[in-house]
Amino acid sequence: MTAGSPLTARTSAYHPWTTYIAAREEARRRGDRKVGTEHLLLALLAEPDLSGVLDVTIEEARAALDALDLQAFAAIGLDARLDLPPLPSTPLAELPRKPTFRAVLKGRLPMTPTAKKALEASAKGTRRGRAQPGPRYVAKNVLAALLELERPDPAAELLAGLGVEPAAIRERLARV
Amino acid sequence: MDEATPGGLRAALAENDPAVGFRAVLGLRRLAERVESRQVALAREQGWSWQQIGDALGVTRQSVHTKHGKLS
Repeated sequence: MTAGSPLTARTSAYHPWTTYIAAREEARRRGDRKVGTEHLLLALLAEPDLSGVLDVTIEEARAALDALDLQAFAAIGLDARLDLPPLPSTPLAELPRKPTFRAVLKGRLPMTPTAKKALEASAKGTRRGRAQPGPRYVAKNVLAALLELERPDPAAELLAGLGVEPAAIRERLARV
Repeated sequence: MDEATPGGLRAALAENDPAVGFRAVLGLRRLAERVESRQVALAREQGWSWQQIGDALGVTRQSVHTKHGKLS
């Protein structure tokens, strides 16, 4: 994983909106109408240090999601293909570094209840005027919340599909 | 499906797993979005108007244009 990821390199104070916008564009890219936990996970993988903790790249995770879909199609007896290009979305590199309220609302997609909960819980203690808990705080909290999820939650399915062991990651995350 | 092989066994298990079935449901919606996007782009290349595309999809031309207008 090289430094200079679009999000990290350009974000000084990490904000939940940054994660939301990146997750939303991942959802749009896949053709989903809601931002789910799997999209939050993809958004976090755009961060080199967190991608390093999981030892997974965002491209690998996107491919794993497509593979899971194909398996599911086969299980219901469909021989579908996914060789269509992803839907148009804003590339991660072009997302605003400090999202304004307007940027969050423009082209917004609703979140699934679990995704909303994970993102809301992660932002505790980051209100303006209080001590900033450190730039990686929010992203780490979101990842910690996602690691707690169990099947059939989409993020848990994705982690299982990638062969990632949540317990091991939790330990590594504590050292970042 | 040969159930003696691990792959066959996994597939047999997956057929009775609602979690896999629900993923297929959402996956089909995703697939439909990708097909729609591709076909709208194709129709525009072939000179279709937004009105014609909207008629074919059963929606207004405005809503097709809002959704896919960035394509072309």
